[in-house]
Amino acid sequence: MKEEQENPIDINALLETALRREPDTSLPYGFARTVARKAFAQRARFIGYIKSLGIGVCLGVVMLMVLYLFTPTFGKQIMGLLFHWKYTVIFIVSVVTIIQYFDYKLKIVHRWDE
Amino acid sequence: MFTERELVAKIVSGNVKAFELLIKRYEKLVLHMVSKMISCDEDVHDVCQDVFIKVYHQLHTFSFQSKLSTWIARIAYFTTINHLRKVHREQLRITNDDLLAIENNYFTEETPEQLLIKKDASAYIQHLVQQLPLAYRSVLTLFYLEEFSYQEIQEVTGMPEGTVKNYIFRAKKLLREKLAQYVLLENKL
Repeated sequence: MKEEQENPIDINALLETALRREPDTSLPYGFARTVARKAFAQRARFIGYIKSLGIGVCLGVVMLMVLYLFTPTFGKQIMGLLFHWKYTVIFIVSVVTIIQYFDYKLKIVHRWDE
Repeated sequence: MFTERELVAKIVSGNVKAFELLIKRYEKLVLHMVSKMISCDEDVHDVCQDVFIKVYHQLHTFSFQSKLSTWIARIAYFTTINHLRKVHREQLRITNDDLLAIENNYFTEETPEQLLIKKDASAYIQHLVQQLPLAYRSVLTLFYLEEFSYQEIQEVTGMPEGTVKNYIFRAKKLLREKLAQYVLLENKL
């Protein structure tokens, strides 16, 4: 206390200045740009996957319809095969979609220099 | 200059430039918070990046019930704590015994290196602050460097307002005592 009384203004002012001093470290040049692009790229990748899946399913349906129209026997065989393996197909598509989703939502630990 | 609402709306609708602007606006806040809690520069950069990617992913849930800076600071605080938990570098919980130890004899014995640091009072204070427990450091940073109110610090850290005030008071008292000793020593030399 005695020491404080001897230098009351100096100590408080020194302390306040020191506590308000900005750290010497800084973020790398172009940090904002790189991080913004990385965040958007992650989202774009997931949206791209969903779009590809949708287009793939639509194309498959169209191809099956065409096949069914021109070669009904072969079309029926393919439909039967798909029907037989329906749970496996649904399981694979679901798992891949879930992995993609978690990759998009939870994969947030990246090295800066990646 | 966009308002917070305009900026958030633009980002949510997919404007990458708006997100870049948000990062530029708040990168100092995040850097100050993270760098006061983590000493390794590489880790600081990684955690800052993680903070902004989390901000981007959660921005659609931001309901403007607090300031955007408070919300981002909260994400930065908890991301840093999670990072420290992962690397086990710092004991995050402070018990009453620890507080007593801090009051009595927290700062380490001075080595020649530390005596050199003492040559600059400001650097000496920074050096002492780095030795304080994590909770003290983060509260001091938010209060002095970012000029957050007690209420805002409570929102960021989840600590009760009384605890925040207590941490600031204790930390300042400790630092003032150390600085007084330092000034006295300098005057004698």
